[in-house]
Amino acid sequence: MLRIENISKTFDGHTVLRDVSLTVEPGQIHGLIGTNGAGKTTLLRIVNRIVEPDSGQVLINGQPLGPQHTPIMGYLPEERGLYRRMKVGEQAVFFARLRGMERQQAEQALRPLLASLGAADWWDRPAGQLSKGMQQMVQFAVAIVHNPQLLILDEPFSGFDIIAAETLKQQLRNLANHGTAILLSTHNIGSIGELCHSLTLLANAHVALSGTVSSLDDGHTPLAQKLMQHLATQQPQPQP
Amino acid sequence: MNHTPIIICREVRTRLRRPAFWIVPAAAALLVVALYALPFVMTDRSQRQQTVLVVDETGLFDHSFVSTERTAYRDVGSLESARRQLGSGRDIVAIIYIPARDVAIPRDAVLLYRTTPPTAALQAAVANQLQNILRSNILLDAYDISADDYHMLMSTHIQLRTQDIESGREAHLAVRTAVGTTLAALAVLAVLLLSGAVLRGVAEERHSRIAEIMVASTNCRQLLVGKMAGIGLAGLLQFALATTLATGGIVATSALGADRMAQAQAAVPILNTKGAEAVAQLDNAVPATPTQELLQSLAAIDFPLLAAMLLLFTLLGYTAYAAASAAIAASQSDSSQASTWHTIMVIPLVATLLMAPLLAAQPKGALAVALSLFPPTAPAAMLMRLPFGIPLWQVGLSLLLLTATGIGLTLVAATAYRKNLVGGKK
Repeated sequence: MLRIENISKTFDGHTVLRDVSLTVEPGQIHGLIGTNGAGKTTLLRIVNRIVEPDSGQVLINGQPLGPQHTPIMGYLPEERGLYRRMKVGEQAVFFARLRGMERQQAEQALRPLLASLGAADWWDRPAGQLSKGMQQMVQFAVAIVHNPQLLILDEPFSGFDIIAAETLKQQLRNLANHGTAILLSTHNIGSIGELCHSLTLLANAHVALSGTVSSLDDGHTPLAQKLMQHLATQQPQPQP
Repeated sequence: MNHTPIIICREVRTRLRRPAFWIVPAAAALLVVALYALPFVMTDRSQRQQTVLVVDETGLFDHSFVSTERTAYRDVGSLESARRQLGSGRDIVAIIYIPARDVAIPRDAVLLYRTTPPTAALQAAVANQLQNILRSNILLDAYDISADDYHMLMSTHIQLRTQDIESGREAHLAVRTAVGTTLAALAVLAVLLLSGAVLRGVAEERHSRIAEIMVASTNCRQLLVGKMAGIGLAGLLQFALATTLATGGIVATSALGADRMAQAQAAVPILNTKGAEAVAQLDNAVPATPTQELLQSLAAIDFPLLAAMLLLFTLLGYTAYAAASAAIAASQSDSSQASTWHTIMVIPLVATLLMAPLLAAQPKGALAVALSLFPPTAPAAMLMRLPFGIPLWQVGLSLLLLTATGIGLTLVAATAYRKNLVGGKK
């Protein structure tokens, strides 16, 4: 479904990504982890065509990434927001239409989706009246309303309480079971083992570790501990 | 996929739901109708005839005051008698007291009142009558001038016409200046208000962090064009609404107040008895009234062409300024800072409007030509010059430069939007 091949990106002389490659298959949840500034958000923005890579390519279903892929992709960015004065239902329909849905089709899909996320009563409320967590739930609905084949989530659990986070995880599992390829970045190493089928550890702008969760979990050392140890070894050494 | 119509639709719908969308044109229309209806209202208020008592100790003004529909003048023998009458009836509002002096021509008079001072209009009417009676008495009696000659002398004024030597067409410079300035003011107002709306719209997307999801869903150029077109369309709707309401209000006011206006126009003060006769005799010989002259001047102007040019220059000016505003809002994290830059950006346009008298004095001068070709000032300067008739190539070149600037700035703004709102290039 998604193939990232040798992506490199430099901002103002600072290398953010160096020869990064990974693959996400349909029905697979792929976790992207790394320290702050490891390049996770930049990589996800490249996959969303917001940022252009210096080299390398992104393939969707074997084709180079292009505007034609917008309708089959869903994106929940790390920096989230809604039009404060616009009603939830209206703006969810607006964003769904930008992803290629018709107005009526979007409305029919959004009402049950918001209900399944515990947001059935929010349709006519201006977004500015919702809490931050509620707004994020609306944005998650917007990201998946068009049944994307590829879903990209940047720190999806940040800002959610435990119950909302659990609802989100359940939704992601359902989507994966229906064949959606999911690429998510997270700081929460614990959720990787719980949710992901495979992972990529980014450190110092390159792939430090990659593989399926089952292959990395040897049954002796917990996965989270193993990843932490690996991250520690990848930290840049202080200059003398 | 082209997302521009979806974005236009959102921008227009969002604005239609705001109370300000309806309040602003309604208030503007109300203001226009109020200004138009003011003479009717004033006529209505002054329907009841007021009485002014005249106490003339000089004898020069004896029975010379001429009553009008609004004001009746009544001679009273003494100041004491007039004092008793003032305030005894609602209609007696003042006393004109002309004291006796040891001079041939009196130069002062007093308008006495009790409690409520007389209106400015009454004061002006009394002063006017005093002046005219004095002059007519001197001319008619002292110099033995006939009533016809007197009236001709008083009513004659020189009309200076400005005509094309070949076609004989009137230049109507004052009217052209007024029309040009009005067109320029309308364009500047529209550009200022609507580009400000684009600035706030982009700042909102930046502030509320919607930008990233928008850029991931659509092309930045479509996004910006949709936003600018949507806001422009909403502005056009507001303008159409204001125009419709104002026109409806004016038509209704005219229908309701036609009689009163006719009365108001008929209530022209008459100088004195002899002068009044002269007016009646010479009525047909009186040259065109200022209103007729104004209508003749307006008829000489090609309004459909000017309306089309107003639309075109406003649209192109708005595109350029809106794109620049979007670029400013996208590149400034602080919205107050963005507003400051926006204010600085529109200074050339506003300054050009303030230079209207200068440009109207020399509409074909080097400064006027330069400002009407320079894209940031072209919407104001060119519209100001258009009623004076200018070479077609200048209009064409100005439109071309403005279009190129609008397109260029839109591309720059789209890049700024993408680079500054989410970082990096698409």
